[in-house]
Amino acid sequence: MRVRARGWLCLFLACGLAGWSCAAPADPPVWKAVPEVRDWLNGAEPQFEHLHLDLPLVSEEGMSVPLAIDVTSAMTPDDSIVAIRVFAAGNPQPEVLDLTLDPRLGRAVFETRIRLDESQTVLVLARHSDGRVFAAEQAVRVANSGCLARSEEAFDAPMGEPRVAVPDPFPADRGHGEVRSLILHPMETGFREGPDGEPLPRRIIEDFSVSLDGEIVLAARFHAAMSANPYLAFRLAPEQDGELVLRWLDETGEERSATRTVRVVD
Amino acid sequence: MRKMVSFPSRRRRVFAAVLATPFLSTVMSVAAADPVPVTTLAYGCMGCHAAPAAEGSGIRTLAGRDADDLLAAMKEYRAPGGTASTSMHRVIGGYSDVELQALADHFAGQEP
Amino acid sequence: MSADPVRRRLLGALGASIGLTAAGLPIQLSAAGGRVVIVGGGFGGAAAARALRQLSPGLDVTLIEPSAVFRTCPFSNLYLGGLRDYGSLGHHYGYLQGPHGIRVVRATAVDVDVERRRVHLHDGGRVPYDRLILSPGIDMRWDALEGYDEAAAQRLPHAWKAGAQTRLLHRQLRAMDDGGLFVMVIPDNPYRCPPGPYERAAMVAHYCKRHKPKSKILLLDAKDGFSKQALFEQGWRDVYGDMIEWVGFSADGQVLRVDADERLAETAFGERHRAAVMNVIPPQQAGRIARQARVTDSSGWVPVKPETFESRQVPGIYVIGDAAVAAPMPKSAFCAHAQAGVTAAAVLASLANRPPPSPVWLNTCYSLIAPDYGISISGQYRLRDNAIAEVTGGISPLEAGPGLRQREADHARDWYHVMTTAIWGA
Repeated sequence: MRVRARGWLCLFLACGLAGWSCAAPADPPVWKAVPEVRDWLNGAEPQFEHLHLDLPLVSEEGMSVPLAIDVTSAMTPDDSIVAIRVFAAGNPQPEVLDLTLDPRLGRAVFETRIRLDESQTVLVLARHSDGRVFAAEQAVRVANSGCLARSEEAFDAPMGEPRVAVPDPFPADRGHGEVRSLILHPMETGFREGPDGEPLPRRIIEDFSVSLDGEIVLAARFHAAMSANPYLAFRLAPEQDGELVLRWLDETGEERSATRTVRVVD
Repeated sequence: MRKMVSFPSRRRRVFAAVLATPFLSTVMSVAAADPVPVTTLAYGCMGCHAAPAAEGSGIRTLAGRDADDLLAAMKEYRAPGGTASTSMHRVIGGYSDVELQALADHFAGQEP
Repeated sequence: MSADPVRRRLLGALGASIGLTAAGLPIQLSAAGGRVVIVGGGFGGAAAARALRQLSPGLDVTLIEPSAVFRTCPFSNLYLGGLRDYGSLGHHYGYLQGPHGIRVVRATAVDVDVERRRVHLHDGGRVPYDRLILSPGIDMRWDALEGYDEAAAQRLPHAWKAGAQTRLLHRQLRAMDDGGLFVMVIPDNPYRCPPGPYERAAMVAHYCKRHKPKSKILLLDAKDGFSKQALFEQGWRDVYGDMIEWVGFSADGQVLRVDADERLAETAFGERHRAAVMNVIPPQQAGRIARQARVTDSSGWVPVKPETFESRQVPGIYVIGDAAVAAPMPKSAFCAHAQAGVTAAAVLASLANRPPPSPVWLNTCYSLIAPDYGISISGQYRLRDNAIAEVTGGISPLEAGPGLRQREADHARDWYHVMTTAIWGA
């Protein structure tokens, strides 16, 4: 295809984007507007680079929106990403997911599934070990489709058995492999009424941690905007054989854990 | 609609762990800026009622039928607890009185 | 839009008719000039051709479609279930060409020259247009699921475009031993026909119940919920007992890899399912010509202006049907037909240099659980705040007697007959 009128095309693109975005151009950026974000930034100005987000442009139901985060980093002790925060300011609570990273992850690459209450811009921030903060954001249009609406079932299940997939073996020489984790849990937000009209009590998994040979390599705080049955995939670059323990703790105090043997190619 | 949330804000859909079917919400008011041309309104009906194929099937053709009868039938579908059907009662709520009248007149004026 | 030379030309040519319509009288569009070219002769494209000629009987309408016979995805599940024969899924273009005056070009559109407004055909032909409607349907994303490419689809059919693939899956199911495991791999949204996989499960179960009662049907789904889920699960249970098992994302239903030689599906958490027959419905994208015309975005689908379905990226090209991002309208045949009507009116308005009329779209999707057991979902859609919104609608009730299920099954058959006759028939 040949398009000479590139300016024309750009104009249409711009018009299209303007029609989709949730905030008027005059609004301050999310990182300035949301108090929880400002608090975490603590005066730092985010740089919109080194961080790549993968989110659908349109989600036909906001209950479980896949989100992938990829921060460019060697993840060495002197040059690593130490923390990542996900915000969805269009939700009743802007916090979605807090991650604290250790260089032993090998890569700052994550996949999860989140809840988006309405069309909005999702913001992800990543703090580097030298204090810089990288950022990326993306508008997601949530077009709730009755065709895809889920049936209303009251979740009353306790935490289920976790599922964990670990590469076997991991590649050698600090090569990283993807670990996938999922646990059955309603992640009841506390914003919903039960059949009797009374609010259903909030019940979410708040803490998730991953230890390698007894040392924590990834710590996460899940907020109510994590999808039910929270899913988190992350990378791990073990240097030697060892033991991996994943632990979930919900706010009623119930806990589940899973232990996996880690093998590294000789 | 099914009340599920008591947010202080307008936000109350997906965040509430399980989504209420948007359909169950009360029908949004029909207040578009410009009226929908009757040809466009009528085209929508042709997804099921196109003649002459509908003839002899369980779906009635509309062309040439009496306008008052058509209007009464459509309003009956729209009434709370009105005529049960497979899908008519689900989609008819989106039309205003003016639109239903226009549809009735349009089909009545067509050759059967 | 003053930069549009075609509009300027038409404005001059149509001076008289515009004068007439300025008073708000019903538009008589038969005077409108302009060449409208449609690519794709499915529910969207063929309906658009019909609607254009109905609204403007003299209009120059060309439909480009490579197949002599169009096979519908709707009711292809009934063929798999043994309720219909293959021939009944086919519809030809004779009526469109003859009585309805549509020029049908049997060719594949391979590219669009946006600047010169011409469609390039596979045989080197060029078809000029003033307005172009693409209704290209879907293509499979062969890169999206490890191990699943065009060659693998010859062993593990998708059967998500009706035709040879549907026959292949039909043959494999007939050849399966009693007691065989039928595995269906189902993608995340968005994809063509959201309830389709679940109706297919019921139709395969209908066939197996009569001919291979020891067989099982396992649905491995990348999602945690699906269209009309409670109705489907109730219907499956009532009619087929425990023959159908659905495994959603959180129960490790997401398939990450298939092995065509072994007929094996491997899930995110390492389960391996070996099938006697495996039906892989892979992630999808807009049909190829939409990508060639550069109207798709990074999602692989086509963002459109909601009031007209004109591309947001390339003016003068309208995209309807499964290829367009029309959410919350589902990717259904009914919606493609509805979009065809609205977009035909918008194209005619554009040719006459008038603003597009206000739209309204309808949808009804029937699914069969059994020959006498139908369920459905309906919706009406309008513009709200410059976006498509569902203004009303609903699904079949969970509590219903056999009478309603029978009536819905009858209406499903009636709908198919009416819709296909209205588009391709007399």
